[in-house]
Formats: sequence, C-alpha cells, structure tokens
Amino acid sequence: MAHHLLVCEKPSAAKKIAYTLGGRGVCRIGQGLPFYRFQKDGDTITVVSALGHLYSPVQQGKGWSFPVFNLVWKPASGRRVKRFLDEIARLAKEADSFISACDYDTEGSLIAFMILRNACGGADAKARRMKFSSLTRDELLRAYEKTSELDVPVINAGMARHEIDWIFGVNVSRAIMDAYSFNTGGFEVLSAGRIQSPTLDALCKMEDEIDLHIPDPYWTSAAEIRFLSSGETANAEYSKNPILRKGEGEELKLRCEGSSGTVRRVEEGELTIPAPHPFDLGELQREAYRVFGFQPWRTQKIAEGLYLEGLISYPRTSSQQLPPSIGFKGILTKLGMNEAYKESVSSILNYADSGRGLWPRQGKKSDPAHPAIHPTGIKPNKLRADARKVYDLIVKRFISTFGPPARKSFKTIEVELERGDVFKVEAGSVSDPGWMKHYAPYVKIGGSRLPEAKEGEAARAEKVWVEERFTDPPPRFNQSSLIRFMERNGLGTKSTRAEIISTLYRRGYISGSSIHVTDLGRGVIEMLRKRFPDLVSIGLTRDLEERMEGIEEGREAYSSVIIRGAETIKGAFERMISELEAAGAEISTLVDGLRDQRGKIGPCPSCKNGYLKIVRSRKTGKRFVGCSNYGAGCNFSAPLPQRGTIKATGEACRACGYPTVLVIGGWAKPWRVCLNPGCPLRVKG
Amino acid sequence: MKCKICGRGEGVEGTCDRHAEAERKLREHFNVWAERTGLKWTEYLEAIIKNERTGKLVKEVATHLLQNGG
Repeated sequence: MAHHLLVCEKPSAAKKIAYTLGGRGVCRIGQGLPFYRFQKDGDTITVVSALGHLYSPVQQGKGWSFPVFNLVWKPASGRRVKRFLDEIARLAKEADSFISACDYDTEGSLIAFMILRNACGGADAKARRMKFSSLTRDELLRAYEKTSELDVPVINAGMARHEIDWIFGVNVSRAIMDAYSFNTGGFEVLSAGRIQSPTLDALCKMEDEIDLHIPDPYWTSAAEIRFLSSGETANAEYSKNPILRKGEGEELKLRCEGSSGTVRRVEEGELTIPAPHPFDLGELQREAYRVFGFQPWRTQKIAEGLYLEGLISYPRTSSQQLPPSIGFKGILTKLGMNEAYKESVSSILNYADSGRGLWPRQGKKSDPAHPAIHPTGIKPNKLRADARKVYDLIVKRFISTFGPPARKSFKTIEVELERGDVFKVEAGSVSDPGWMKHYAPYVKIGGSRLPEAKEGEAARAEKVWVEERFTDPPPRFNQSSLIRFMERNGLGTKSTRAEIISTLYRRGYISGSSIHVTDLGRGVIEMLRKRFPDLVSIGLTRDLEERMEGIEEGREAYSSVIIRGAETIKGAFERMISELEAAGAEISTLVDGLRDQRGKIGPCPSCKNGYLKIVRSRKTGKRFVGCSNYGAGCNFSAPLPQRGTIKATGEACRACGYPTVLVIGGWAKPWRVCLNPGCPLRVKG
Repeated sequence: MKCKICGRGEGVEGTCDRHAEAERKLREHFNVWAERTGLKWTEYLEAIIKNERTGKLVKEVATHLLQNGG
C-alpha cells in the first residue's frame, strides 16, 4: 500500500482534483491550509496545494549592487508561503510517492519541481507527472493512471526564463535607480525588464509616429445615381478616388452634377467565408475585447476560473487546433442538453450526418501541450455575469468551428456619365449564414441591398459631392492590439503578456485604454535606448525566447542560455558604470521634473508669484501645502489630510478663490478641499 | 543649448532631435500641400495647427515658426 502526495498549483485546483479522483471518500483536513486525503485502489492519496510560485530567484548574499549574477531559488516572502511550505514538508514525510498535478505548462511544471526538490527533500528525482488539459473526471482519471516522468526540459526552460528575467530586471532597475540616487541622494522606484522595455519602446515608437504625423489633404467624390427604369437611387463612389488636387474635385462636381449616363457594367458574385478556427488564448483575449470590451488580463482571469470549474479546457494555450481525442461528439451532445445551445448542436450534428463528418476547422498555430480552448460539456451551475459571457463566447466559437461555410453575395454596378467619368455602386449581403448563425450575436449577419439595374440602361447623377479628407495618424495601441503585437514579435509568453501590460500601467509608464506613453515612460525609454540599447531590442528578446524554446525542445543547453543573457547585460553595465553620473543626471532631471509637475497645486494666494506645492515636514513626516517662495520669505502654509492621494484640480474655490485639491482614498468617494483653512465651503464636494 | 521649443534636450540648431525631426517633416510636407491646395507657407502653418490629426510635436513647431515670423 503506497502513500502518494499530489502537488497542485492552486487551492481551488487541489479541491477539484481531490473530489474528482476521490469522490465521496475525500476527507478535507485543516482550515486555513486545507489538504485532502482519500483511499484509491488500496493506496492513500494526499492532495496539497501551492499558491502559484512558492519559490523565486533572489540574490545570493546581502547588499545592493549591480551587476549581480549570483542568484539562488528561495521561498517567496510572507508568512502564508512559509505556512504552506511547512505543511507540505510535514506531509511529504508521510508519503513515499510524489506526483506533480500542477497545470500542464512551463510554469506549472516549475512550481511543482521547486516544491518537490526543496520542500519534499529532493523528491523530484522520483516524482511523476500528471498531464491533463481539462479538470474533467475522465481526463483526470486517465492522467492519474498514466503518469509520466517529470518534464525536465520544460522545467529547465522555465527556470531559465525566470533567471534571465531576474538578471535583466534586477540589474537594469538597480542601475537606473542607483544612477538617480548617485545624482540626487534620493530614491525613486523605477523599473525595466526584458519584455517590459521592448514593449514600452514599441509603444514609444508608435507615439513618435503619432506626434510627428502631418495630415496630407486629399478629396473623395461620390454621387447619388438614379436608375431611370426603376426610379431607384443609390450612392456611388467615384472610380478614381482619391483626388489629389483641390481644383480637380471642384471641376468634377461641375462636370458631373445633373449629367446623364448609362450602366456600363453589372457584376454579381458570391464569396465563401469558412468557419472560424477555435480559440487560442490570444485570440480569445482579442475577441472578448472586441465584443465585450474586456481587458486581456480580465479575460485570462475569467478563463482560468472557468477551467478550475472544469467548464473549459486549459486556457493558457497557443493552439488553434482541436484533436479528435477530446471527443467532439461527446462534448457537443453534452452542450446540446443546455437549452441555449440545443438548436445549434442539433443543426451541426445533422450537418455532420449529411456526409460531411464531424470535423472542426483547424487554425495554423499548435501547442504540443494543450489543444485549443474548448468547452468540456459540463453544464455550468451558477456563473457571474462576466464569466457567463466568456463561457458563451467559447461555446459558440467551438460549435461554429464545425459549421458549414457562410456565403456572401455581392453586386457592383458601374455607371459611366456623359463626359466619361465612372461612378461605382457596391453592396453585399449574407446569402447563407452557415456557421454565422451559431456564432450570433458575436458576428453580424446582414448587409445592404442594391437596386435592380441592367447593362446599357439609362441613369443620372442627381447630386455630386466632393469631401476634403486628411491622412490619419497610425492608430494607437489598445490592450488587445498590443497583445497581438507582442505575439507577432515573440515578446513574452501567452501567460505573461497581459501581466506585463498591467505592470506598465502600474509603473505609470502608460495610461488610457487607447494607450498613451507618459512622460515618465518616455524618459525611461530614452535613457535605456542610450545606455542599454540591447535591452529595448526586440531582436535580443526574440533571440532569447527562441533559445528558451530550444531548451524545451532539447536543442539548447540551459547553462548556455543563461551565460548568453548574463554576457549581454554585463557588456551594457560596463558602459553604464563609466557613465553613471551622466545617466543619473538624465534620470534625475526627468524624475524631478515629473515630481515638480505632480506636486504643483496652484498659484500662491499670499505672495502671488510663487506656486503652492506639497511639502513633507522633516520633523513630523506629515504633509502640508507650502509656497515655492518659502526661501524668499513667503510663509503661506495649509494643512492636508494625511491619508489618500492628493491631486491638484487646477480650479479655484468658488467662495474664496484659493486653489483646491482632490483627496482620493479607498475609504470614501474622492472629495474636494479648499486650501483656505477659513473657507466657508470646506465641505465634501 | 536647450531646445527653444520644449526647453529640454540638446540639438544642433536650437531644437532637440524630436522637434528638429518635426520641422524637417513639416517643411517636406509643404510641397505636398502647396501642390494639392495652393496654400502659401503661413497659410499652411495655420492649417496644420488647426487640424486635429496633426501630431503634437509638429503643432508645437508650426506654432513656434508662426510666432517667429515663419
């Protein structure tokens, strides 16, 4: 009789796996840190959970310096992590067999490996791996019965990624903070990273293009054409759009308005639109952004929740392909029991029975570890509104992939006017919705109808108009298009991209849903471009990513990839150290300018030529408002609330004319405060 | 020498690299505008400043040039 210890990635996954494998015989032990125990085939199974990564790379030894390359893997800080690790270590002593049941991907493999090696007394040497793509009973039982050896190349690739990211992130962040401190004696949290910085650089380049955009003028012309036999009218575009001279447009209008012509050509055709391929994570994030406006990190979080509920397959996948082994018919039949999908499923099964077979449309991308995101067929009990939306999107996309192609008919009518000018009417509509009806309302089925017209029939241009237009600047990135950009350029992994974008927001480097780079973000990038050009290079990042993939596939050695990363950064630091003073001056000008901007409240009502700013008392540490002319004799000061963020409103108090500030805190609605202690309106605004 | 438009950075002819690039583009595109619309230099600068699609740096340069007699 053996005692197996199953290590899972999260508490919710541990619970799900325990109850799925053990059924009613599961005993939940402990309160804050529960673990699960049950008997199976005469063996005892204990299921424990991690909290994501319990170990992370840290500097070996103490001290603040750079460059630093000596790192060790240590437990993450925090009492909760320590309690988890102590409990796992205690349970490991009772076990004689160990199984990694973390999510089957690089991060999951690494989480379990670190725990097995460090908390379970080197149990990684004899541990086994459960490989599964969804938390359904069938799949978990199969994975438990057919465990394999630990996926060492995948673990090495994960370790290499964390170590390289640590070497880049810690060293460069320390370098720029040190340079700032060297120059000012102050401290400011500034960060840079292997993926973060090239992403920010790309955003800055886009911002540059927008800032340098010059809109060139051009004109387009259109006409209202009446078809004389039917009397119907339609709007037609001039065939030689765009017009590149203002005078030409004016001449065209004079020449064509009210003139007669004939229908020169009528063309009708049909377009086939194949069914969509299933979702990989990036495509799901983009689609959820398009149809619901959900930010990528939110979609990822919701999808991970649906996976832990057993409702969908593992979402962190780059595959757009569904293998038959997932059981297409079984999943569709289960989905068909849900009233919302009954009609679509029955239509798909009939289509398959008509001789076409049950085959989904496959996308180009594949992932050796997981299939594309698909529902498991398990009926959801109670879902939050946003989770219900994402679930519905995934189910409808899955069903649609089996659907027949849609057909769109289009029609073009060309009318030639007396002086030889040609105007074109174009329209199209969906003639056979095919798969589209299963994907509604996430795809529009409709179109516009064109008047009946025959070649040679008479027509007239009732009205002609010419519009002045200008070339547009390139569109700003939003979170969805930025994810696509990162994917195309090999920046980050499917699991980390959304988090990297969130970090850029948290650091104050970017802002807005239509992304703007802040002055701080631009300043940091300009400094990095000058001092660490390699760090902002997409080429270097892509090269390292490819090498890490190489470790996973057994083509590259873990140590050679780490050495390559360390050498790159070492060279950059040697240059940086020799120019520490100059770099520090650049950063301090930037940071101080921003602090100054952030701290300015408004004009001083006392001396009239100074400005009010937030000051912190050296004696008490409390903040208050003082005048920039304090040194020149202005003693104006006003108290400030000690909690919350203070923001200048830029508006004067309507009662006394003093500047006002907004106090933003988590405990109440933001409130407006007048800086005049004697103001009659010092109430919540 | 500090940039005469933004007061930051340094450049060869009194403007920082970014404003110098904006001025280069502004002058280059004048040919396109002149050919298409027949506008004179100052009219062009006014039109560029008014246009909401114009980039921030280009607007700053055009405003500076206009205020300093083109």
